[in-house]
Amino acid sequence: MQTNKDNPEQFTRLWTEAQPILAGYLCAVVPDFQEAEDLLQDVAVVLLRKFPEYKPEQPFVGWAIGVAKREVLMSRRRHARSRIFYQADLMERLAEVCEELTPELEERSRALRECVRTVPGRAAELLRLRYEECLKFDLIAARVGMAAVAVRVMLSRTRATLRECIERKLKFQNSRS
Amino acid sequence: MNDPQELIDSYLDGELTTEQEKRLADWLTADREHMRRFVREAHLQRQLRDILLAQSFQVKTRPLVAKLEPPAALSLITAAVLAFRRVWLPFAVCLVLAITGFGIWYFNPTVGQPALTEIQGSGLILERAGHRLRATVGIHLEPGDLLRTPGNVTAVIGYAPEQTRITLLPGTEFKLTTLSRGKLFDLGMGKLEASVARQSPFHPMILSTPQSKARVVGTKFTLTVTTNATRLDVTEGKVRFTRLSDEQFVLVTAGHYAVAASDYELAALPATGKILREWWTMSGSFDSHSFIGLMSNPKFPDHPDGWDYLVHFETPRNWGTNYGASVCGYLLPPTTGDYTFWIAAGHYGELFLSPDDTPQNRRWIAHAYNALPHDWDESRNQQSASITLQAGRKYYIEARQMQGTDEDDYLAVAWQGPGRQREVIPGEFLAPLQPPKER
Repeated sequence: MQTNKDNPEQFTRLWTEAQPILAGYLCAVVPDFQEAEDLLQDVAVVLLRKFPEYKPEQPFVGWAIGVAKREVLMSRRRHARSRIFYQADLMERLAEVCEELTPELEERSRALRECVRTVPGRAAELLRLRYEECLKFDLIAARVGMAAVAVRVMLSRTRATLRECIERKLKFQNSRS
Repeated sequence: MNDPQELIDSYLDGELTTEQEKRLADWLTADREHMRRFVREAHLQRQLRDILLAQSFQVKTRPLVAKLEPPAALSLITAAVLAFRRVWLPFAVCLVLAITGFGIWYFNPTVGQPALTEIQGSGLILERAGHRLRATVGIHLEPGDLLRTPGNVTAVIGYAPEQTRITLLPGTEFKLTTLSRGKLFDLGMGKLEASVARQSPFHPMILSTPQSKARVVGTKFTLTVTTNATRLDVTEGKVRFTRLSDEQFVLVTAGHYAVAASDYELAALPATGKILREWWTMSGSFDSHSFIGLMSNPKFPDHPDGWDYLVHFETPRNWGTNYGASVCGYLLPPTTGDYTFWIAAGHYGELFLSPDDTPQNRRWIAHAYNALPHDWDESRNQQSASITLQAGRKYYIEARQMQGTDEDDYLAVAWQGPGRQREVIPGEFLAPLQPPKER
């Protein structure tokens, strides 16, 4: 009988599907991209190690978020932090909501990919500096010659425009289907 | 800073003070919808990073990819092939079209004249040029003739020597519009069943109703007209079905139906009334409380040991031992709204639903261990979350069951939705997948 341990393709397939949702969850509880990415890698390693224990009858995303949650708590202990978002009950509820929203978040990702292409020049550059290069507002401001407050406002507006674009696309898809 | 969006943005930008973070945590715990909004925003920002990184990667690797492209000599060959295709392909297509056109003209199908060939019951009305005629078997029909079948009358129109046959069922109003440009009819009300021999593509049969137009070149189908809707059910071949209000059309193929009505999506949907069950016999020792054994069965999923149809989403009880089964097909909700599903199964069952009609997108929504028939609430896991479904769409649904050596086997799926109490899903909202031999 083939077990999970003997089935790395199965793990790769499930991980590829679940990875964006896990990344979103970690971004929610650890609002620092690079720290969240380190954690995501740790979670992937733990999931692979524990994969023989995974029961195929349960949703992989839910199981993976459970593991991620434990990793975040471990990380809190390691770094001796006391962020309010590391409260166990709040993390638990966030995990539930992430799992519940999985199909919707996948649709939103698809819509976002199209919406990002419509962002014009300077706003696109600010997005790139903030999300690709992970720069803080003051460094972005220095790079593009704007005030930090103006950078914050422009990024905030751009994200609002993206949210509206996503909602429009989802509404349009729902009306067609 | 009191606006929740500002708090979320600042949190995700790593700029919240402890006091603001506490305020955000309070806002989140106050309402689950707040939590959803927060998760959507976190996911958006995370996805923004992934998308922008991917774009940057593409830009950076483009020169490398260009270097790996085939050498110029190969490109010249490719260009020559393309040029050849540009000239010769249209020529070849024209030649094939010309030969096909000649064939259609030369082998034009036989065209017969319409006549009443069968009448069951009494009181059939035949009106010609405003006069009522005596409708008898054998009478030839002419353009403009109007036929009305009262409540107990069925009439059959034949086109000998052609095999076309139209059966007018009780309560139908039917008019022959013209015969010279193909068979053009109006179905004002009621229901007809038609078996149509091959027609000339230039002179197809066209059936008009107040809501629709069906274009037929050879098929078997049923057309039903009510005061505000027309339904087409196709048994063989295909029919082009046009909704008159907006000229939108859909091709309806065998085993499918479509409805033309103002508040209904025009789509070809699989005919309802049953759902497919397949089973695989298990040998040796296996765990009947998981699907690992079934997954390891080399015949799974494409070569079941048997299959049949269920008329609702429930299998017979005590049917067999040592097998794995799958009941799969399409769910066609009658009303848009929120639905909840339950599964009851022994020994073990799982329920999957797809957000669309593709099996690959199915998601686990509930499972059951040793649940007795119709005992939906033995475990919380037997119930799905509330799921929004839309009328006029089809959703792939699948329930799997594992059964060991005991005889107490069983599988059923229930739902509850807008205006419907909890019930085993009736066959009228289910359509089967094609059986394995036809896939």
